Amino acid sequence: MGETWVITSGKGGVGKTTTTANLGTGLALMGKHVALVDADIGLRNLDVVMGLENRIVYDLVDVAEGYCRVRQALIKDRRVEGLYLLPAAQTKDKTAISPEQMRAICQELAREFDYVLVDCPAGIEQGFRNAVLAADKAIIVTTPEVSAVRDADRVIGLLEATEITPPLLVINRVRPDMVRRGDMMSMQDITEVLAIEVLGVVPEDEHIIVSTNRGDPAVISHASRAGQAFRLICRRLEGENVKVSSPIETDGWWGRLRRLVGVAR
Amino acid sequence: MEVGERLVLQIPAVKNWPRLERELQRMLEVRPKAEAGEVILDVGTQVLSTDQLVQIEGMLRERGLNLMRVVHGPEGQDASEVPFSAREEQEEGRREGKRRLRSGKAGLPAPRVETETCSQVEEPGEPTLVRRGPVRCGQAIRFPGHVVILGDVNPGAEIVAAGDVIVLGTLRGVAHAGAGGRRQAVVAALRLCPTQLRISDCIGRAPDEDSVRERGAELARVNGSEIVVEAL
Repeated sequence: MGETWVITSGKGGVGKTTTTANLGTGLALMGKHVALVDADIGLRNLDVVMGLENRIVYDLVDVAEGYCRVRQALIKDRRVEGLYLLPAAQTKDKTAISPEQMRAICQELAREFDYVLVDCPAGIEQGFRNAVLAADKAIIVTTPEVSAVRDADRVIGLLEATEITPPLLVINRVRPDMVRRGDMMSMQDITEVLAIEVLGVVPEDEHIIVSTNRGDPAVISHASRAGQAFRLICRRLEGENVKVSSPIETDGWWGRLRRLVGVAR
Repeated sequence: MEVGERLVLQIPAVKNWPRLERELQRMLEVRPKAEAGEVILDVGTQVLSTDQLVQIEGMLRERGLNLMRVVHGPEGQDASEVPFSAREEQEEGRREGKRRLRSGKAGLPAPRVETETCSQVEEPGEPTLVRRGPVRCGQAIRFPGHVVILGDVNPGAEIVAAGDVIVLGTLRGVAHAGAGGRRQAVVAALRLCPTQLRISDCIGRAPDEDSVRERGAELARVNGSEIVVEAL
């Protein structure tokens, strides 16, 4: 029986869909069976980011209404074995499905897959409730910005009222140079407020824009630093004891040289 | 009100809040003759929520009664032993001393339930809510008494108290002490960095050029008509 994870944030545009796509692909590359579920009905993006939008025949709402079976709506990924996508509907909205229906679909998927990753829409309304009430565990995605952290805190407060286990945090789009200058929140600044465990830190990376446009998750490429960070997160999700380090410490050969020479940061 | 006389309201553990409400209403209608103005609420071993306490306080206030204190009984008290009742409490004067409101199991000394303290404090026995933090963005705590938070209050969170607000952590949200009009109320925190401070009808915020240096525990109070902050 697999686990259902919801990837949520409150704030829009912080990288939930990118994180869902990359974690799902990364876990599948490690040999796991993964189902991605797009819960953002009406504003679906996970299909685009995965490069599967022209393969959609049935969607989540069709399944909920009993128009088709889950198996028929699942789209097999075109590159990676064991990876499937259940797309959202584009021509409906978030009232088209209920939390109970979401929960039933995710439970059915969890019987067949090791991981069910639900891409949650932004906000805290019906779409958020649908996604959250279907999940056992949660990943909060935030960027190192005050407004994003504020929304993440709100969402954590809402999750505390459910049966979901304490959420894990992914800090996305970090720019080490700005953190060093004091222009951007550090990992410590963020965890001081949010007070939850950090699952991983993902640096800002131009590759992401290219990969989401092309529909090729960055985790597949070895040239992408964000992709590397997502791979580390996948290993941690699988129980490997990989140290969470801020990108400041892993900033390439100059950083390594400094550490070698013992220069304080 | 006769000096030294208080009404003690004892309620057994009743899971059904509507029933408890009805019983309270009924009981208040037939309360003993003495015009006791102050009430001590004995909740036994159960925990009432903030909303429930506020409702009870409202019910009492409608009848000219003042909720002074909320006390808890000892463990293991059988609810059936305690009839739903109100009784007069004869005070032995407002002197220091221990007060036992109920006896515990045989052979064990009854745990001290309530301590009478000297009444030179302005509001003796104010109900106090103690909550563990962090209080997160979007959460609001409102209480007709003092509020103590064991932990942080995050930005976007709100604490509204009729009495004082004490944060054993970092206060980053909004705190409103003396919400019923009490200007002597204070807000204290180990780290005072609120988005906004309110005491009674005064509002304050940190100065725009506020430095980030560590300042230690601080207390905010009203001086004249503005809020001042001083080191604790």
